[in-house]
Amino acid sequence: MYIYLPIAEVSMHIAVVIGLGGGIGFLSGMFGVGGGFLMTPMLIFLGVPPAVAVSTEANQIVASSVSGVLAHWRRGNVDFKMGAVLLTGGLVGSSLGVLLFSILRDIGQIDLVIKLSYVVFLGIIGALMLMESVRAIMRTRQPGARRSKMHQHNWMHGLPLKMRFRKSKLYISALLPFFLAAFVGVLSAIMGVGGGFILVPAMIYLLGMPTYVVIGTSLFQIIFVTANITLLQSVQTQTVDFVLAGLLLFGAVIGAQFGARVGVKLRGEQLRGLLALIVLMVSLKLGFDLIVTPEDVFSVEILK
Amino acid sequence: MISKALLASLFSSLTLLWIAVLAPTFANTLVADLSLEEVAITTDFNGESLLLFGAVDNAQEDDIIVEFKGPTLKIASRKKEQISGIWVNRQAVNWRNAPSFYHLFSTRAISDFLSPEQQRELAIGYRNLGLEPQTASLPAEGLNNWIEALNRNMVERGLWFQHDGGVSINRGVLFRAPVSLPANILPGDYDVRVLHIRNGQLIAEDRTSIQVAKRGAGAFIYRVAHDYSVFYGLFAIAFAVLAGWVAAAAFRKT
Repeated sequence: MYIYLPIAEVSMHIAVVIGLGGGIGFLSGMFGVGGGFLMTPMLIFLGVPPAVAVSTEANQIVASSVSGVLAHWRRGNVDFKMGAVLLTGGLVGSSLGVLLFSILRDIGQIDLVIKLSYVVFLGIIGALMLMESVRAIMRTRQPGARRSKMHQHNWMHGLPLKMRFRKSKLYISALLPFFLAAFVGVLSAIMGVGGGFILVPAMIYLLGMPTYVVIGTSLFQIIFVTANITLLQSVQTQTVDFVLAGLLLFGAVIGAQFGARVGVKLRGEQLRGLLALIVLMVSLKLGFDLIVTPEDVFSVEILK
Repeated sequence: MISKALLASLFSSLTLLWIAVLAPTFANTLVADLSLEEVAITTDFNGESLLLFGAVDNAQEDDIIVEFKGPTLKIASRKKEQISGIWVNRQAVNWRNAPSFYHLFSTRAISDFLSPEQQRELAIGYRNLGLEPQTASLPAEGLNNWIEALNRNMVERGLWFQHDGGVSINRGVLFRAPVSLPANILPGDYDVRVLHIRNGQLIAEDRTSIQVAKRGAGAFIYRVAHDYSVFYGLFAIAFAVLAGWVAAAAFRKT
């Protein structure tokens, strides 16, 4: 059965849409990631206009982050004060990102910038994750090897506006999480992702937050950032397709349950290694698209 | 769908019989009609097939061209160039009046019975659409490459199409052309022009049109998203929050 998506204005088989949600939901349940970095490129690949893919994915991430944050909240693993600082930065960054997106779309460079962002940021994160997990796998084979220090004192700790974050056991400048979240917010709006794949490692390694509050706190702020993108894109470009978002979500919710069951059977470093490989593959595929000679150097966009 | 088409063709056959009887009294008659009055883009829309049919006078040796043209709009053509290894869109041409849909059907290859000049006079074919570029600085290479590229890209999307042999004439009086509209067509008024050509001359012409419109729940959602965009955005967020909460609650035990 085909469904004509009212905002995307494309007709897709309903099994393809729910299957896509289920497949990516499976991976996100297995690895504990949002999956936006897989969903947005897949939607574009299936013929959904890039602007609709990015805005609709933001709408879907609102739902998956709400669903994810509840469990962390119940366990008390959300640092709301840190979350508030992060989301302030995130709102500023994502608003800028939405503006940047529409400018790039008008000058015909949005596809290039989306692809370049994926290549650069997924490439870096994927490579770092792969190295880390290989090292971790080696370490488990050589017991007795020591872990390096969690974080050191450096220039970042000399910044003004210091704030105490009790839950995170930190006393750092509020500017740090603010600018971190602002930067990730810009990427969220352009890449159609929640940004957890940058935010989580940055919160651990850059801010020095304890791992157990990181996921819940990042999910908490991603809700607001993606809700902001959903609202801004709805008003400015009318590219949020909530029918598409709803169908993807339906598949993703079910897929994630199965993924989580598979995930618990694998060891942490194996999971991270596998995730790193997927992240690198997406990055390489999009990078390849940019350098390989296109079939037709001319392209066409209907502007209406 | 099939029964609708069947009914339509039955009805059309009766009409045609009547026309065929009366036809000899008029010189150079050409009457064309479509099997549908409207194409509705509903929630389960995945393209639509329809039939263009009609009657002509003494067309045993002649040719018929059917032009199916969608609403014109702005289309941007872009050309990629390699910059330090990466393919980047550089030059762009914005067409102000390109048809979003242009299907051309004929009894045989148009170049077999009309010279390029005759085609230009009759404004037949994508090369004779009178495309106007909006761009201030036109590409140095001229527009021909760009028009050919526009055609290639639109053909690939199924929006432009030239079907030689797409029109069949029965006993020199009845003609028919099956038309298939792809799922990615845009709503608007679609104009149909039918030309009867003999020895390179236009003998008779008829025009009709059909509306493609969004209908049903999808049309409603589209209208709300455009006319009440703030409300739509807030609704989309509320819907997502609720769906996320329900999902978490449903799977809490497992």
